[in-house]
Amino acid sequence: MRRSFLQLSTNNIANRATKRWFSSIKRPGDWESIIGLEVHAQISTESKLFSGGATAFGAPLNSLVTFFDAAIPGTLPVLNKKCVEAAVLTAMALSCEINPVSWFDRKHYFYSDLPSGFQITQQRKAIANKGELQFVVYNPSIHKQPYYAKSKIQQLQLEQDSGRSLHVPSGNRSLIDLNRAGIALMEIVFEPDLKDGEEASALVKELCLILERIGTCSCRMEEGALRVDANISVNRKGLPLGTRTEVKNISSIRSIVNAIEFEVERQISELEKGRRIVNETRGYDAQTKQTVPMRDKEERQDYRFMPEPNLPPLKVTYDPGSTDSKTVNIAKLRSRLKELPEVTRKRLMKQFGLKLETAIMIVNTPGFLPYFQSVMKNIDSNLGLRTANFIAVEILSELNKNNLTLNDCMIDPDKLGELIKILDDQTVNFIKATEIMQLLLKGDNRSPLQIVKDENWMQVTDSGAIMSACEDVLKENPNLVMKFKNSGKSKLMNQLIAKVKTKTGGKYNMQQVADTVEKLLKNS
Amino acid sequence: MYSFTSLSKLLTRKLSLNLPISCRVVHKVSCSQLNFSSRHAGSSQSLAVETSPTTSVNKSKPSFQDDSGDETKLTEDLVEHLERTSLVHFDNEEALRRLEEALQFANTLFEVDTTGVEPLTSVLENESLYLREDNVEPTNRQDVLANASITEEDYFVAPPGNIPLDSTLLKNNK
Repeated sequence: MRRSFLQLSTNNIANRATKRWFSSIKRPGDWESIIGLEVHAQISTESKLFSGGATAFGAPLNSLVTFFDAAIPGTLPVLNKKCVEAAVLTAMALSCEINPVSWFDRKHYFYSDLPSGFQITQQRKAIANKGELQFVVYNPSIHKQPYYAKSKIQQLQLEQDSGRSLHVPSGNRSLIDLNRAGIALMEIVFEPDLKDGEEASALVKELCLILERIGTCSCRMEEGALRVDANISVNRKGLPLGTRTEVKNISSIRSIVNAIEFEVERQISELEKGRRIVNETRGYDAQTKQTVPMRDKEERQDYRFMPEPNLPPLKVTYDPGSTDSKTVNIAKLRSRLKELPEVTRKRLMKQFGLKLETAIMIVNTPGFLPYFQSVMKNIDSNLGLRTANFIAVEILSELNKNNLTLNDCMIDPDKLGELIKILDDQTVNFIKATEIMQLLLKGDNRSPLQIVKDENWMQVTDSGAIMSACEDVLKENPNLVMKFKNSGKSKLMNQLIAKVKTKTGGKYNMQQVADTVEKLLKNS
Repeated sequence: MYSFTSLSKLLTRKLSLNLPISCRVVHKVSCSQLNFSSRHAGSSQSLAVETSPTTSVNKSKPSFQDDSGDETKLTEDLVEHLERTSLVHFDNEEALRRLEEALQFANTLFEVDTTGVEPLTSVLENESLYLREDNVEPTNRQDVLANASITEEDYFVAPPGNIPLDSTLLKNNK
């Protein structure tokens, strides 16, 4: 049910949630792919989940390890309240049902980076279940327009992180650093309801925006603060789901797409050759952009889940009137929840009359939203689109050249606001506006109006002046005029227009110049 | 090769000492338990202490009968799996027999009707977990590394990959 692009109004968001097949990546034949994600997000707190060890990244080896983290006997876990608050905030942001009572369990397996031989996690009764994350999928090179997708959340649980092991290339030993052991993780388990790698990466991008906004996770995938595992299976349309494989070691948002797409294509090609898919864990190699087998899951991992005997149940309350600071109170936390990205997008679209694509760009680009909002504070709302485009096209490209983001933009938001205003009311033309922007970026302290006055850059719109300038240029370039008359190539006309621009210092209204040159050429 | 004690291993040890039924550790206080005692109070049998071990609270069932079906069958695969996960080595036939007996003994728990009863996982279930403030405590690298016999440039040193279990030993003993 395709609607004409012009008919889609910004308010009818629901109508834009068109069927997935309209926008998804096309699979060969009647193959479909199903993806379910598991995300491990490190909670950004000062200390770890069950001990007082610090959580700083990049600290000296084994310097943030308490006796509990190293599983030295005689130690007990003591739960960090801020971690529970972070989990509850995240659960609220993801529309989950929070369980008033939840339990901790032990998950046993042997690995050198898990000193105690078990991980304290929440398996049978986690802190939250049954949530949902709605997100926009839009890759301009693939999708004709953005569309909404959503993924249901099965469980959100608190668990410990393990240490880091470094495998020596000669292979005869592993080196273990326990700094990371015991750091709080939120494991968010999604249902397998994603269709392709683009949807998966869009989900993770939205999740990162949310977690950063509410302050529970830094989402720096390169530091390992956010880890994504993908469960992937393929099946022919209408037939039951195929065997799934789990892909780990995905270390960037771009890798999510590459890893999933490679694995889907691999599974389809294996099945078409008549082979079967083994339920296994595969690792993604970012260098070769391929997935390789890691460990065989058919060798049943028996985790022997058992309740953690040292921890009574975790109870969270809902009590707006309570003053008790010792328990986690959902009512108090709700007021701490900041505005979520999707709410911001809808608000921007309504307030400034923007399209969804523009709102996406403002909210998703780092540093754009706060900068945009401070510029728009003092200027008219209907200049919103102009401002957004100016920032996106002109300023961002300059900043990118120096590897800066809008967080480091030196142009004072009030000055930019003034610049947009004088550009809009034709005080300056676009050429001069960009020149003013360049001066401001270099640190010029003057206001845009001051610069215009000082440099005499006011736009010239007087038709008489334009006419005489154009006539002069045509007189000075008879060869070009002759060539144009013979061939009619617009390239030659543009050359003449450019000559007018340089002759007059670029402050003439270029639309009028172009029209005048064209008229003169026709009539001569 | 007893590296650490697990709950199941403790159970195995205690049961092999042939304790009478009345001394069995029972965690749950469920209604079915009460029914059991009242059933016997009205019966003609005396409440004498058993003289030989029995696996069934129901007198009609003979002892040591494998009445729970195939689940307690100890196949070679299962034993190897149990050895790998519990790090307990079953040296000989006697050890395996004891394991079998322990399993059958533990299976009597299934005779208790627990429908509608919430499992007790901790006697502290009415308490609520103490939450500490998010404060950092000082840590000392030397203290933590002191127990390790080998360290390399402040790393702990471990065998490559997973902790290996030499499965050839098991196969030779059988």
